[in-house]
Amino acid sequence: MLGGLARRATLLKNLQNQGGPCIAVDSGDLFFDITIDQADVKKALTKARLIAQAYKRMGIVAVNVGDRDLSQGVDFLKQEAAQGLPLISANLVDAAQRKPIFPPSVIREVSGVRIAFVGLLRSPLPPASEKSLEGKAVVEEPMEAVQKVMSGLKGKADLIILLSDLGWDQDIGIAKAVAGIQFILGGHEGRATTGPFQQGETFIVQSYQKGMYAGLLALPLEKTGSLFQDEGRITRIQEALNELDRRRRDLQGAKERNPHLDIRPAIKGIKQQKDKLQKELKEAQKTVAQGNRFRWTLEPISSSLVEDAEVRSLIEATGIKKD
Amino acid sequence: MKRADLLSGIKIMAKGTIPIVILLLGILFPLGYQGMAASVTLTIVHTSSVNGYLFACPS
Repeated sequence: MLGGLARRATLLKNLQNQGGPCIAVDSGDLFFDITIDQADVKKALTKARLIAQAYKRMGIVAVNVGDRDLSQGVDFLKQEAAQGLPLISANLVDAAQRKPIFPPSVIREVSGVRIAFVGLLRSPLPPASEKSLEGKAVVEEPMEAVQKVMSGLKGKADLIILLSDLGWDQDIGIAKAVAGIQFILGGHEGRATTGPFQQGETFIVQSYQKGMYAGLLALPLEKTGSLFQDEGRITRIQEALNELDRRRRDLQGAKERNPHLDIRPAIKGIKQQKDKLQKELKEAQKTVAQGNRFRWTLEPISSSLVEDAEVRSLIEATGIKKD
Repeated sequence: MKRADLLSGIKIMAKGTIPIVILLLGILFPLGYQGMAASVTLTIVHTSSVNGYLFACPS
């Protein structure tokens, strides 16, 4: 069993107590499940308010609006923002005035480095979320919205991190088309990305779903002007090479047991893959040594984390005992 | 010159020279600043698609 709001709060506290700067962000679809029965709406809203309260206590820096966060209407989100939840969205705009309902971005300065978090949600919305907006808000085209925000951030931020609920394919599209975004911390599908995907100079990750994992991005702040390099890439290539060696040994073992087995095509395929990976390894060893190295890990929210007492009591006060 | 006087003179010179050498090293090799800058690593804790879940789920 993985996950739990109270354990997540403990993980954050543990990291903050280690002494280095540590901040929390969410890329959307935080509050509501994919489908909510009419009979469960009250419970869903209680849970959503509780999550907002806990995240505020945890000192969250930015929460991007995801399409599922709109499933109970935009007024719920406005209420939470008014009570101090730092919601952001560059492309959720007021239907009448065409102005962003929440700030498009938030800038946080850490050790003299200005880090901008920009929020984006997908368009078009699923029909249920569209209906729940009741014509009060519309979602603008994400590409245009992010380009507008990026030009506004020129000279104001040293690092730009996109909190995206667009989904994997659209995140890649944004990384291809828009220069200057160092990281896309994505979501929507809830993929588990153990290694970042690199598109140009942008690295894309997701942190799975249902709060079962937290993604930890360790960013050195001394050379923010130089390109970032993924410190874990060499390890992952080496692991892939070890796996190919294991498969080759298995095939050879099978051949010894059954001499009529033709393993030559499979061995040839493994050799081709190994050659490709060895080239990648050499290139990675060269580039990682030159760059500004960061580290990405997916941390399981496991039972070894003691539940935070404060968040635990907030949950108990609602009387909710299971999801 | 007596041996004691000679040693005393060396000691006085050394007392004046050591701070100057330290000062020069500090100017030429500002290790303190670089060391501090290199040690700052920000950890960003990221969650996505929590979907309203409060409790642990089967993995």
